[in-house]
Amino acid sequence: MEMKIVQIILNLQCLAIFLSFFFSIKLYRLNWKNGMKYFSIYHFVAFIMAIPFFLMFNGFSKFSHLHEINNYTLLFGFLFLALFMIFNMPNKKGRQLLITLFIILFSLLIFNIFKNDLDKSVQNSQAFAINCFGLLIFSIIYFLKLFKVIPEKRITTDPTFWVVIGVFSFSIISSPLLIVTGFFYKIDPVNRFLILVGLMPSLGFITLHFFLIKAILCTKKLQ
Amino acid sequence: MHEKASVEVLYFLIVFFLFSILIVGIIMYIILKYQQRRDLYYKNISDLKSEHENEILKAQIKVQEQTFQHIANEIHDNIGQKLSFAKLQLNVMQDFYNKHQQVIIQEIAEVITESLSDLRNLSRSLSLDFIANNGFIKAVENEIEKLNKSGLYQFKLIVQGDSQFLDLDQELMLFRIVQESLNNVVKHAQAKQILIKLHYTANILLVSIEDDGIGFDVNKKSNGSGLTNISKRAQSIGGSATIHSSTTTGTIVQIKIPLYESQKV
Repeated sequence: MEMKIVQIILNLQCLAIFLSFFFSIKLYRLNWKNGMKYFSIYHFVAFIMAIPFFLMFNGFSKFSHLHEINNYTLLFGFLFLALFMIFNMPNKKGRQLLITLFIILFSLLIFNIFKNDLDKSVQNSQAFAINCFGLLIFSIIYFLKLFKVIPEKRITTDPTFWVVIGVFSFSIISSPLLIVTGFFYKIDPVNRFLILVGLMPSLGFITLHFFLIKAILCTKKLQ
Repeated sequence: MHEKASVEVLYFLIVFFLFSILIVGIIMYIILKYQQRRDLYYKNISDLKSEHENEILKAQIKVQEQTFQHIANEIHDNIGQKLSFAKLQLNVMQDFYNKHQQVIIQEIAEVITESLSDLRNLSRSLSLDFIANNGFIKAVENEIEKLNKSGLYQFKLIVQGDSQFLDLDQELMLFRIVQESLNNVVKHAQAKQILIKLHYTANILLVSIEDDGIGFDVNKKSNGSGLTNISKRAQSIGGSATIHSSTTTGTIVQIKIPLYESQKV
């Protein structure tokens, strides 16, 4: 039964990515005008990266370089979302703090991906953890700074706010359980509950992409 | 085995449900907190704006009152004096002319006397001193007396409740509102009857100026600033003004002013 749930969730993850890509293409012009200028690139890359996973989850093909694809996706995702938050940071001080953090975390991520001699799956989980924690810190700083600037914006119609909410949700769903799962998985690799909990990042991705769709649709309201 | 798998799925769903609640809670908290800050920010801006507008209005009214006072003083001290002197001269020269000429001089003297009386009334209605010395009700009576002379209108003043003293600024402002309203009636309403009601209650003074004239469309923007002035003046003393008008029943201007404990006699 749990394998069925795994299959459903992984397919839902791909579906969420395809959907957000579809919306970003449909509302491309509006996004360009309303603060989501380059976000279609993110959706496009996510779409391209999701295709091999989708084929694999449904038994159409087998890929031997999944870890590499995963690593590059993580690297791109972190780079894009972190830069997006840096550019949309409400105040200058916060921006400087994010830039410093970005340099540290991005270097750490690059080092982990290209210079780490550990087992591929362990190295992949470590990269994912850096990515999640990094983005979680970024989004927390964004929220804290949001409460320090003049509240002129209506945040419920601000695309940037929903993107950051998406990133925050993804990070908060993925980060803690990922670490705990990794630890318990070493002790008891066959525990099915842990396999299921390991799917939390996928649910995080689904949440992220639904919030990205919400952000895209906000640009329609701003029109 | 199958039962164990179901329990694990249930755990999984519980964990995900808890995380979803946590996230929704955080999002709601952020949005609500931000919205509260935003509301407070815009409230502060609008308070500052209305405070600023009030200050400007007070300054405008102060300048206007000073001008009125200056004109009143000029009428009383300069024009009045000159006319009184002219009347005195006419009385003196009356003895040097024949009977027919004396009648003409007498008529001129009467016109001057009438003008002096009119000017004295005008000076009173412009001057701050009259209202300061005699109070709001007396000033309104004086205004009615002035307009009554034309014989075109039938005025009625009704005072209900125990009259109370307001502070001088409030009395002056109320009097100016009554003047402005009466001025509007004379200029535009084509009314025959004008009723001024002053209703004192424990906490509120209600002033209403009613006429049986042709009325007007309240929602239509007019070029004059009379109606806006009435509202602004009422607001500047913590009150409010409402205007009702129809072509069949005429116009009613109602002013509501709060009365504070310290003002009660």
